[in-house]
Amino acid sequence: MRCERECLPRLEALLVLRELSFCLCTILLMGQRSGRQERSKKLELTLSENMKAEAEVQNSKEEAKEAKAKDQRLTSVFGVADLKNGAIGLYNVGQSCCLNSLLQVFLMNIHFTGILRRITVPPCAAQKRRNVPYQMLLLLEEMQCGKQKAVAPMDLACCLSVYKVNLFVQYDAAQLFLTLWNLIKRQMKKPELVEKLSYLYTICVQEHLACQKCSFETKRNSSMLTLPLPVLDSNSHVLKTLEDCLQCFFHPEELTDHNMCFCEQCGRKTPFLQSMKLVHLPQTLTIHLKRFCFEKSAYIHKLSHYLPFPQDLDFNAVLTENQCQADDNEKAAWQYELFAVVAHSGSTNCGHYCAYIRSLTECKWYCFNDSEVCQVSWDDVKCTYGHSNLHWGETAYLLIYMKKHPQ
Amino acid sequence: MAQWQEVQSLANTYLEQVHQLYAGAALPMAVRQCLAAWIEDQNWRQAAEPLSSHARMLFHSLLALLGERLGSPGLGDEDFMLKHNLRKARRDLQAEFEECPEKFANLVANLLQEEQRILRLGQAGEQGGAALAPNTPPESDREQQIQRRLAEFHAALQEAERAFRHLEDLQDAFDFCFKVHYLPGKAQSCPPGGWTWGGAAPRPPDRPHALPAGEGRTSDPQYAQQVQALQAKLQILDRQRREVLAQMQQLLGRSETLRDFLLQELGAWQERQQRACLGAPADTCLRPLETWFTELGQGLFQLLQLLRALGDLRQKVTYERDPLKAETPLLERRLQELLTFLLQRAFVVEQQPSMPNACKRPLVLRTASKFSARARLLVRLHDRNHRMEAKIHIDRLGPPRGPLCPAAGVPGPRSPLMPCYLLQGPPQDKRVRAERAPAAAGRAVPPRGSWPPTRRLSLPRRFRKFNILTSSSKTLLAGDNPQDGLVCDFQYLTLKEQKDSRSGKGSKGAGEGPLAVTEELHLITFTLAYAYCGLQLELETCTLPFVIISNNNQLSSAWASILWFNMLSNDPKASGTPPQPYAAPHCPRPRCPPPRLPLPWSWRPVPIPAPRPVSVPVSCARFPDQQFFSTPPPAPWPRLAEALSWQFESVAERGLSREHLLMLAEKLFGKAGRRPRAPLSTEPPGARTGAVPPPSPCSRLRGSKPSPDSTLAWPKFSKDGASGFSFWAWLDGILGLLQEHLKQLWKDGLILGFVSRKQEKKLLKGKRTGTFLIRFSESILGGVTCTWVEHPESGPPAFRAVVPYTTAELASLALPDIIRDYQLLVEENIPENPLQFLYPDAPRDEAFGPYYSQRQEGNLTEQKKYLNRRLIRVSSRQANELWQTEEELVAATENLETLQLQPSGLGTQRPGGVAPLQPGGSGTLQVTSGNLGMLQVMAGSPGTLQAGSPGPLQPSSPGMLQPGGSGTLQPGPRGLEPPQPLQVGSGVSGMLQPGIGDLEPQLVLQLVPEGQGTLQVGAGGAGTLQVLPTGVGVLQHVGPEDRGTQQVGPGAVEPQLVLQLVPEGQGTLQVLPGDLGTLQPVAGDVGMLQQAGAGDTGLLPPVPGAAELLLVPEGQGMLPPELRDLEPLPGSPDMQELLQSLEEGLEPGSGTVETLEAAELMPNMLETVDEGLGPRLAGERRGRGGGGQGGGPSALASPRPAGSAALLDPRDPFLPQPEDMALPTVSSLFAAATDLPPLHIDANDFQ
Repeated sequence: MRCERECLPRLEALLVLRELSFCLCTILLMGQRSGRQERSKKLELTLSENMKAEAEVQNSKEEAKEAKAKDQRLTSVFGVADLKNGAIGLYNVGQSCCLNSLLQVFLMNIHFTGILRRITVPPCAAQKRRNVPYQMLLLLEEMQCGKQKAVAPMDLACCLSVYKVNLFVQYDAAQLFLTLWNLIKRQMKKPELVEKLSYLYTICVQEHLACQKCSFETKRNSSMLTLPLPVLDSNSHVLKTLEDCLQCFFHPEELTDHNMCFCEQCGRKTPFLQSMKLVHLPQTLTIHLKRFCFEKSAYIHKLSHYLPFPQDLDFNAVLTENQCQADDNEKAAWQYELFAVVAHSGSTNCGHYCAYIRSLTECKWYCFNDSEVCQVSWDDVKCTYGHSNLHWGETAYLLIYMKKHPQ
Repeated sequence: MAQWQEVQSLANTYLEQVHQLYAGAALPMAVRQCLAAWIEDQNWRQAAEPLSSHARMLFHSLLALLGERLGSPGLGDEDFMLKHNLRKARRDLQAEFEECPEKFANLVANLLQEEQRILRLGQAGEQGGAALAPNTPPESDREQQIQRRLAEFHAALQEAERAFRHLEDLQDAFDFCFKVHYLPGKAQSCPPGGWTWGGAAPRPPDRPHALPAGEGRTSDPQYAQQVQALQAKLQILDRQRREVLAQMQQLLGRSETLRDFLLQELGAWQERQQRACLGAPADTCLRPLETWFTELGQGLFQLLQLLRALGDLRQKVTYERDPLKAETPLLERRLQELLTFLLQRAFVVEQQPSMPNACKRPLVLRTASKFSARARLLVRLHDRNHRMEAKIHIDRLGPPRGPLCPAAGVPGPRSPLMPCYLLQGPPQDKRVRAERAPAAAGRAVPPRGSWPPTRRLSLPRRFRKFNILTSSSKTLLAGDNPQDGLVCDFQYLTLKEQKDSRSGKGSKGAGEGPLAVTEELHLITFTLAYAYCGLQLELETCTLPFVIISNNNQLSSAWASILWFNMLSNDPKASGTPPQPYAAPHCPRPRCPPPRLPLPWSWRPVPIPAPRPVSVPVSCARFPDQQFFSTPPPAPWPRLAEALSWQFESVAERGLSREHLLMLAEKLFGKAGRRPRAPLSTEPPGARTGAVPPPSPCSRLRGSKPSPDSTLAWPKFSKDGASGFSFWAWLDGILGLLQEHLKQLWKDGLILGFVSRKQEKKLLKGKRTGTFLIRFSESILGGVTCTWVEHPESGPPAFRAVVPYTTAELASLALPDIIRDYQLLVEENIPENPLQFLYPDAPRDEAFGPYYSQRQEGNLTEQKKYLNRRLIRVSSRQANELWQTEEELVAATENLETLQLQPSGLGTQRPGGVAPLQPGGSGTLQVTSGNLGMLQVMAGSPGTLQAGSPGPLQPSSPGMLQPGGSGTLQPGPRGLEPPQPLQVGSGVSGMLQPGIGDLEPQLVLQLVPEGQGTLQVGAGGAGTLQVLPTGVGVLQHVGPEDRGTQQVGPGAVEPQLVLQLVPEGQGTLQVLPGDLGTLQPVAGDVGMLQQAGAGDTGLLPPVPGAAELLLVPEGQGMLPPELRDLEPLPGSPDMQELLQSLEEGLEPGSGTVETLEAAELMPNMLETVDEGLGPRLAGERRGRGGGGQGGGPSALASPRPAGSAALLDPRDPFLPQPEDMALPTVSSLFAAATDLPPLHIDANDFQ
């Protein structure tokens, strides 16, 4: 690949670039300056304005082509130094390790970036500053141009602060994920993109509530963004594997005693059986391990015990027939492969996040520790299984699985 | 750092990429080549940051170096071109980057990065090629991985250190500017938000993103500019700090993987060690682990130092939202936890406690005997100034408490990163300690409720308690040789039982004790006060559980316990701990609410939780369950089979084969769960040479197939069943036999060993007459026998087996020799050796040739008076004797119980009264652990008697009763009378042998000596019985030389006889020192001896020898009737013939035979004996002593303790109490011998 690219005549590449930048004017072009001059300028270590301008130019649907063009263009600058790097660090701009980790998970997901690249650019500067997807896109482009080993997501952080996501505050990754996702969804203007985004991330389940006295049953379809899995069973026993957690999550629960519900048919409070059936699983499945517990009064502590999770996850093997509510077609697609792990180290009130992400293009694992990025192996990822004796080590908190065979 | 070298050694395709890389680059390859090392050493990435002064510095250094190189004489004329290129490059670089050195730095950084990428690709490609080679074992793969990761870790650490130095530079630069431009501005110039500087008097911190200008000088544009620059510097500083932190986070994360790898390796090692304890062949070398642990530990401690230095940086300059403030404590805590964990696990017991002489069976300790144990700290780092004290405790109470018990509270402001940890107080009284341990650890210890409920490790009640004698603590010296590592080697330890007043012996025996002594598991805990780099820990590790015995005869069952535990303790299923409810780990209670409140983007100080010292409950030492045997899990057969095979492997270097295991499984589980059996043994048992391939593990697995799922319960394995002894005791008996006598034969596969009788028939049926196999007896502890097949002209093939040989017999004659010379006396008196071919079809002499002992043919030729002598085993049979039918045999194998009672089919012959005796006659000798009196008698004559006329014997001739009676008679001196004649009779039993033969092929020689033994015994009766042999034993003990000269009666005894008797004698010796008086008559009784004896010793004189002499004739008188009883058997003339033939055959031996029977049967012989006794025997003795047959001394030196103890009757009041009984026989003999005046017999007296 690389060789081929290098062999492309530069001129041709430039033409391609021009073509791209002029034809695909889905976005406003700002300071489009391609050509040698601009390239030489890039040699300097400029601050972000230049790059942003560049980045906007790059907005195109055809990522491959664009990447090629970009490669070509920058080759002259750094030789062929590390242009293709999908893995670029993000500077910690103020306890933003959580945000950084999540951003990496978003931006390394080509299915997500495919959507992100098609967003409508807000017309005015003020709106741009406040538009989260747009800022993310800028950040992505800044990362993709591969000038530095890490990028500071300052603008995005400022943008987020408008929506009460502040720097210097430690967030819970699952919570921040929801917030971010909702912000992105809300600020995407195109309905088809919103739909795509939802389809990419949301899990559909059907909640059943059945009266134990009569046969009265209520069903309700709902969707979730994450599967919040307990890591302890109902008796506070440690669950051994992720599969156990899943089974525990989908295990029907009896509502008795003071949990009884009012049954319309019986006309009184009766014991109910509450169960959940899986209807649909998305392309990108986020699993939230509830590695904390509220034992004894108000203070929360972290559960750091050993909980292994597989690289390949087949829901059909985990769930029983009556725990799903899906046709065979849907079920056939429930083959997942681990894509990313957001790991937390430290205690509940102070800690550090990092992300292990398997690059979808290279199929290699990377560890993103703010500005530090390095290639790792599955053994390293396995370290986030946890250890009951080590409370400060890295433990997996969010698991992001990717469908093996996208529909 | 030799990146450039590596790049150059890449394959061509990759080199091409490198060339392309440099083709368009502003940095010429010549420069790269010329300054390779220097370039790689610099931190270009850091320098590439905007506004970095570093870049300029680097750039100019490069130019200077280039200039230097140009001027150096190293570049000769031939390098003219190069010189030119370099000069040009220098000029170009200067021109191009003078203005923007950062650009240059960035360029170089990118080049290096790209080089690395190509290098990685290239190396991966090479490895990919190499990976095709299949001969890379996974083991070394793991090793390589660890090595590689260690190298990576250290490289990353260096990188971090470099980044840290850069940060220092930046901070110094900022500090300087700040002082120059800002501080002189005095108070009003100091920004209200202020920087903190110097650590003193911290003011409300500033945030790095907006530095407020001093109010007083806002108007001054120059000043504003300076502040601007300062602000920028602060920005960079801040970024660099974050980057260093991220780097460390990353480093720590990677080290966790490494830690996991090492722990996995350590776990594997521990498993190996456990298996090695069981005798499995396993590599238990700790060296590689030690190296790895040390390297990782070193790296982590280095990181810790770095982290602390980082904390110091914060002391100098800090500002609001200083990342160091929030992150370093976190990092440090994480690192400390990691280190603590690593160190805890790195403290391992290298050598499990074992007694020095029982290295094959560690973990069994005997009170009052020495043992040693050794622990090692795999992290070979220590503080030379710290005194490391290692201690050992036995059965220490209380779980390992959190080793880190910070007591200093919140660290002081000066050294916030050096929390000092308090060691736990020294262990006081154990019981007290267990109660107060949590409280004692200081205030930082959390309330009891939140403490993880570690399993209480209190010693179960009613376990014996022990003290460790000699010092239980030891200061670990630094070690002169660093290679030795940190080792706590405890040697010469002994255990002493605590006598608890509350539960004295009486109450202990009350049956409350839940576990037998050999099922009590004890632990030794090692603790080590460790300190390094400000980290103080109490490391703790503990041994595998061991069993403490007080007596050697418990050794076997103790080892069974050890076997069972180590076999099953690793099995998660077996240990079957129910899932514990989740226990909340101890977490500090937050002092302030979690900082979730969204704070405005402001100057407000951020509530970052202050670091609090946290106790890290790291309980890494694995404490095994001492109550394991209160509910011992059953053993799955495959696992048990494996462990049993190890036993054989460790004893005799050859494990159990599939067939062996099959037989054992059948024995244990019966045939119920068995599948159709595979045809047995296509494998020849290595008849010729020792070249028998050891059974492969997979064949072993198949061997366990009959019952792969079956499990064996502990009681069935170790507890005495109906058969009188347990499965393990049986197996251990065989092991003992193998170890002492049959090692080589077993190793070379000549012993088929575990073959059931039924199986044995199947195997032999199709073979030639005279084909035999060697198998272990199932009815006798530690017995080995051969079975051969005979094909009579008509009828089914007959299978014959000899009474099993045990240690007692084999000690005098090795099995190969027995086989070589084995004779069967047929009715016609033509001895023949029925053993012709070793199964399947190896000629006997070919198979056993290498093992025959050298015959001492010419030994005594010059004396001429005697013919050569050789010991052989002979069985005899009668024509009219019925051979056992197949049915009986089958019945016997089916039922072990019956087997034991009627081992030889005697029972079928005489189901009547003899039954109790017979076991004694053949099997019980060793089995019944006590009946000394009985035993001897039996050995001597029981078979005979019973054979001849068992039924009538007892009722008719009271004298005859003694075989049975003597045992019981022992207590009463009255019993002496009756026995005497009998004994004589039994002495004559030699003559009866022809009759005996029919029972079980009897051993003639054995009988003869026995006869003699009894002869002497006779005088004293049961009690006396022992005495005489005693005399023998004693004499031997006095000294080998003495023996020669003494020629006491016992001396006359067959040397080999002596051996057999000795062990028994010892026991008695101690018992009846007083009895000696009575005994002496016995000695006198021997006939010829008494004169000698009379003058002999203080004790002897009183005994009237003559009186005793009279007894002999009496005995004689009694005999004939007995013989008459035996009429059907060959008459006495025949016997005489036989005896004569024996004399001829066993020349020297016959001398003794004569002595025995001389009195009545062969008076003429008497003279010979009388004359030649002294000198000849002396010579003979010596000859035999050197003859390697295992003379008296050697037998004494290596007594089978269990065996000898077994021979003593615990009920005999004259015998020592059970406790003393098992004292090492040798030492006790000495002790007793000093009490015995008559031992000093002068040889001259006999002349």
